[in-house]
Amino acid sequence: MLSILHRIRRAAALGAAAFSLGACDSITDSLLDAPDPDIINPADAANAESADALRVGAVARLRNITAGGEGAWMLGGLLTDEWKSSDTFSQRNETDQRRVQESNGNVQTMYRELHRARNSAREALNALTKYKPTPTANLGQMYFVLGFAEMTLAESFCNGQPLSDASTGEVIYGNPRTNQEIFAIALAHFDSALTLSSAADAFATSVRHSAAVSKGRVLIDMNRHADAATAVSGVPTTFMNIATFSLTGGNNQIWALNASAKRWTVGDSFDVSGLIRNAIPFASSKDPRVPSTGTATGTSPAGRGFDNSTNFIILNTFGRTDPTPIVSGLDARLIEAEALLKANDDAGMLAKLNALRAAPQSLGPISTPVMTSLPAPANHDQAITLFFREKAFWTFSRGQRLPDLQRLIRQYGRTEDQVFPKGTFFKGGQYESDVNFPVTIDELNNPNFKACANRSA
Amino acid sequence: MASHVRRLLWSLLVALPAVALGSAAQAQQTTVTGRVTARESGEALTDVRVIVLGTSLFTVTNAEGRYTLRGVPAGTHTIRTIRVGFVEQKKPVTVVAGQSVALDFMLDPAVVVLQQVVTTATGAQRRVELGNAVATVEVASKVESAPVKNFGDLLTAKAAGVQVIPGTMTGAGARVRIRGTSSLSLTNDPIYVIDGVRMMSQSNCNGCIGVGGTIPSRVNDINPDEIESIEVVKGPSAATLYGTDAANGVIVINTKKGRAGRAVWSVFGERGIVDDNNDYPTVYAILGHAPATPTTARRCFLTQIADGSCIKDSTTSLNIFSDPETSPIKAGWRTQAGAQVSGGSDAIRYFISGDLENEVGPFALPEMSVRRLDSIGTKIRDEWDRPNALDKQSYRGNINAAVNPKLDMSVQSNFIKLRQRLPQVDNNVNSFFYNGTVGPGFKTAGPGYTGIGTLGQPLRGWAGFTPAEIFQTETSQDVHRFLGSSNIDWRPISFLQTRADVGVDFTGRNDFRLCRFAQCADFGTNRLGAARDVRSNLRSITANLHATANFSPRAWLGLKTTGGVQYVDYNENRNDAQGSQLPPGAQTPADGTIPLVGSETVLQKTFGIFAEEQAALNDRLFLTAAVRTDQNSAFGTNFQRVFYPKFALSWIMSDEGFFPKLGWLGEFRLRSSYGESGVQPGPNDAARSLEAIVTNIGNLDVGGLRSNRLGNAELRPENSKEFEVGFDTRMFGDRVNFEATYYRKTSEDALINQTIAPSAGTQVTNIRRNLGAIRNSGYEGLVTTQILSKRNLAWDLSISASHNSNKLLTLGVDAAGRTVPPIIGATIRQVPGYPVNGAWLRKYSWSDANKDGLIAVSEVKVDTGFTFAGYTQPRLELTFTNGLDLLNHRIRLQALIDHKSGYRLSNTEQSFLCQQSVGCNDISNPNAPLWRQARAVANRFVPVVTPEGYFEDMNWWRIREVSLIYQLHSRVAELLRSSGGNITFAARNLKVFTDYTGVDPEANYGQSDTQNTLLTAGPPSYFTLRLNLRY
Repeated sequence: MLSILHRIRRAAALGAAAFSLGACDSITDSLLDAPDPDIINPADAANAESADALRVGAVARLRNITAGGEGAWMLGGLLTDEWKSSDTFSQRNETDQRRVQESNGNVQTMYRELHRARNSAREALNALTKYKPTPTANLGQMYFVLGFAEMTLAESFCNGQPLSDASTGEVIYGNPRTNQEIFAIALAHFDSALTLSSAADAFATSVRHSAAVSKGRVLIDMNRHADAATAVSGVPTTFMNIATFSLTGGNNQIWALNASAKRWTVGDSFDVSGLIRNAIPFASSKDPRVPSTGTATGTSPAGRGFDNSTNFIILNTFGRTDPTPIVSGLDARLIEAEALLKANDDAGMLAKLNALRAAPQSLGPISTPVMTSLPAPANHDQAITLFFREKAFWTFSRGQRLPDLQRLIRQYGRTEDQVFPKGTFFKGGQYESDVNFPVTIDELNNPNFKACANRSA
Repeated sequence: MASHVRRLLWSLLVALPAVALGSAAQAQQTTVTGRVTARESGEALTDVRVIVLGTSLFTVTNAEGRYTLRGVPAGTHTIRTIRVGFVEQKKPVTVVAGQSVALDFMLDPAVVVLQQVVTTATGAQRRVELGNAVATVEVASKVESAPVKNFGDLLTAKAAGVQVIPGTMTGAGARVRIRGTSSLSLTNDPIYVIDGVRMMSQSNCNGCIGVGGTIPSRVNDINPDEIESIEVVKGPSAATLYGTDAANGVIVINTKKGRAGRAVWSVFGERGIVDDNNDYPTVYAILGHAPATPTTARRCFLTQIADGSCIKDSTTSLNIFSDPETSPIKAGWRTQAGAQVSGGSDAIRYFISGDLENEVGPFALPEMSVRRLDSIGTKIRDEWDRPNALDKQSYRGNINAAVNPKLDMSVQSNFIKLRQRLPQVDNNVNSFFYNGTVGPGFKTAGPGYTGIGTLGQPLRGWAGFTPAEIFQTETSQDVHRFLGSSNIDWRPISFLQTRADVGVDFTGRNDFRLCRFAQCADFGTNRLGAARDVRSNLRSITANLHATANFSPRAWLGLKTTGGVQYVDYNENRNDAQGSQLPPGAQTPADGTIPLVGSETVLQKTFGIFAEEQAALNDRLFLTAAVRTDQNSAFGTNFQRVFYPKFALSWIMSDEGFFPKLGWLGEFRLRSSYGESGVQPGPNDAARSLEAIVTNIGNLDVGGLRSNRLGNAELRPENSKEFEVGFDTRMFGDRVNFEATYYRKTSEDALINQTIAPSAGTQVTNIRRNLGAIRNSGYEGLVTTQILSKRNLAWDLSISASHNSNKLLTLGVDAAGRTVPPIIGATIRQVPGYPVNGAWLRKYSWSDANKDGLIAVSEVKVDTGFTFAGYTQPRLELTFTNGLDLLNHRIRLQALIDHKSGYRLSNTEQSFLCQQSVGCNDISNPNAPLWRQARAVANRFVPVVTPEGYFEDMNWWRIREVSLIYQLHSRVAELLRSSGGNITFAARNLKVFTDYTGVDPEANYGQSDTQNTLLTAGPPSYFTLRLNLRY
């Protein structure tokens, strides 16, 4: 009996061994084969067409960080006086109140999206360089996207933010930098964009003008106003690099968050709590550059916002699929005007501003009527105030108000108390003191980052 | 590929029988027959398992208590009988070749009823032979006598170490965790095995259309009335042979099987009430004025009264959910009816079941909304009036056939048809809880509130939208599900048993959402109309094949060798069609002006091989060694195979001669086991990938690419290693059964979603890496006792307890050798040395320095740094189950009370409301205690805020189940022309005792590891009456 059992056990062992051999890799590989059609393998995208598709992806990112997302254009406007929160979400309310927490999810998304734009541009640059190096304006466009994202980061966030890189698939964390250092990096990228887009065709020209205007803007940020004026001088006033939208290709988020969701309402210089110091009356001034419907007090004809308590004011500039200029010739003229202002040429500055008012200007979906000339300011200080107020109307919700208010502190000697909204916050408490956004808490996962170096303008 | 599969299966089918046929000769065999009865009553005992020790031979008694064991080898054997509720019995028998031997048994009833046989990966096995604890839930008896409405109810507070947060809406799934949180980034859900095959149980509900957080559950598809028992295999020490994915435990479901004998019909009907008795937040308003503008009414917060910026004139409050005009809370109902028939011969047995279930949740259009819709001439649809409902049908047919003495076959098939719907709820701007709790605290116009919505509708205290619009969003799910399995047991020779299980779980699911034109809440583009239709096919195929050889080289030694393979193939395909801007009357995506389509595929496959050797020494010391190796389609390309070993010991020490014979001690068994198992990565975690996008450039929609996952070629499964030791003892004349277990489980190579800092600019926010190690350790205890056992009064008591300690040991080092830093979230952090998902908060302090009864902003101080604030999962769980039998067991009263403590629960609802709305208790109730004012100030009004005050210390008790069962008197049964039956009145979720200031300690949506309490329902109460009849 025992010997039989031993034989059987041996046979079992042999069978198991045979089975193991039988179940060799080729069989198990077949059994475990799981090709997922949802996955796009990078190896399948190593060609010129894919490089161009990555370029399109980066341009889409650029749209996300401008009018296509709740980014610096919107949140920066909320931190200043362009927008007010008619929402119940604390993330927007605290931004409006200028007491942004480092855990603010909306700011976190804005911060991440800006870096995603950088990374997408770098990925596209890598691919274009390898698989489709010409026309070089494509590369120039990616340098423009890269520089624009970097410039926006430095204009929006505190000092001490890092620039990391994952464009090769491996994450390499960067070290904290000052915003001036980041402006310098952006400047270099705009220069690269200009170099690569020297051709005369329409696309290269658009890239070149975009890079020129952005270069001018970053030079202004760096307090190099004369250089800025030089940089933008060749850009025609009618030039626009626009973000476009469609029902199936993404909605204009200025419309989505304001007119559609009613979470944001157009800012004014007063509300139910009374006067908001330093705030421009964007809604009540009835300026044609910020056409709106609704009132900040009383019974607004636009009703209430999403929170059902804040008077709602609709911005009539942008519809669901209306185009929005990312950079424009108007910006170039305003840069030139500020250069004159900085050079104490108040009259020259005024002439520039009035020249813009003297003719219809396109703001994307709307054109402004001819407007009366501005009166001459009594002194340079008033000229400064006049310029920044005029610029605020021309550039409403296009991501320029926050860096402008910061520069009023940094470059024009004014205090936070003199430029940012102050007084009683209409949802309780007082306006606080934020002049930029904190780097959000998830950046702590970068071992090189500990905290903002400072929150000053 | 198909040819490879065929080759593999054929090689298995041929190789295993070949082992048996390798035997040169077979001993001559004969038959043992007999009858098993209860000693006291002489009643024939059905379902007694009769086993020939040292062989693979076994059978089960029929309705007359008779059994026949064929093919027993000549010689002397020991026959063992096992049946739940009776004391196990062994008898020797000597059989002569070619002759039949009779052997009857009379079994003594067990004082404490315990399940003695459990299902393991290698087949049915006596509990005493296992080195690990297995919890068993006797479902068949429980569904008749307890308020069990779905599968989640079967597990809630039923087994030590098994934590369940039940679903809180009709159709919502329960969250199940066994022995703590083992995985930081992967699922902590157990897997489910039904009749030997994997059952789909994913809690993430890919492709479900969100309503705010609450999601349906595929586990709840399974009808409790069709289940015989559930066994909970708690961790890797026991689940090794279930392979990759089993590290979080295995829930083994055995459905009812036919019993030989005449056809026995069992019919039942149930009717009941589903009510929501939770206290939802009251909204408060302090109306006043600013000192400078006494004629202008405004709202005041307590802080503004404290600092003098607002002067109180009056106060008011409104609870939308308790006001008859405004409340959408209205008792629902529940109806269930079913019939089952079981019978057959010794050769073929059948179990057939049909069940209809209808449940309407406790939500309805309030009076004001009915009025509103009537006033505008809108016909109210049933779906709007009752937005939360479930209709289910379940049909099952199980057939077991003894084809010949060596071959048994069984086929199980279950078809389920389900339709359920959920309203807009939870964390959602269209949620009815949201709109009911962020209102002004009064019904008509007042400061900051017009009382009229954007559609001109009276709001009556609701915020932006009322149920008249909210409930017009119809979100439904239709499911057609088939679970089929076939098991073949072949015993070619007496000591060899082979078994094959093949099964499929297929679900066709249709998720649908509709907002008709000019309906639904006036938010965004809702009222332009939109339809979304998501159609998913989910399919899981399981094939198991294993062979077990029994071998007794010595009288005192029994060996059992098992080898087998398992293949699990999971496939999910989905198409998603959306259309918005519908014309009036349109209801499908195709009618929309703006189309949007999507698709998704999920594939995951596992192939495992295992071997196990068990040794039984003198039938009191049992040793087990096993190993399983797995390959999986989700492993990284640089990682091929994982091995999971297992060792176990079970020693009935009280049977040893040296063990002291104590009168009060009946049996003492020491058990210990060690085992490993894993959790597989996500299907595409290992692959670096790009994703396609659509954008618009120059007014043209164009496609583009961007990077997506970073991928990880080294990805491998999490490896959980568990050691457990414990003992079982029966004492005091077997009146008391006590089990105690200590476990220590360490998950190594823990897959961690390492957060990628935003500055890297990746599309994904994290990368999954095998980095960390997590330890769970704890104690589990179970006391089951029959305190009193008289004819007219019997009292049984069961107490189970468990305590868990959890620690993140390390987050490992990255590729560059640097220590991975803690994973930082706003309130939840993963920090080595602290529990997973630990709460990390800024602490705050306060004092009413000026004694004015108000907390001003200046009276609250918030720390700048974050400190560990506690666990977010319960550490201690206690369950008491009491049963009283009266009047010769004709009436039984039973109650289950459970307790959880040792953690901090984020009262996100109050935190949210007090931070973001105007009327929360803590900021607008003049009677709010100082500590509540202080936590709101710290959370809202200071420059740097903290939600610490809303992370509440939890310590709660709940009267979970109460039922009264009346066994029908024979004359009553005869009147109903039945052979017997009972009536059960049962109540569920009767009362909770807690200091928690939220809706309920178990309010929760979704099934994530941290509880979601934001704007969600508390558990409803059920009151049901059920009639069970047998024919």
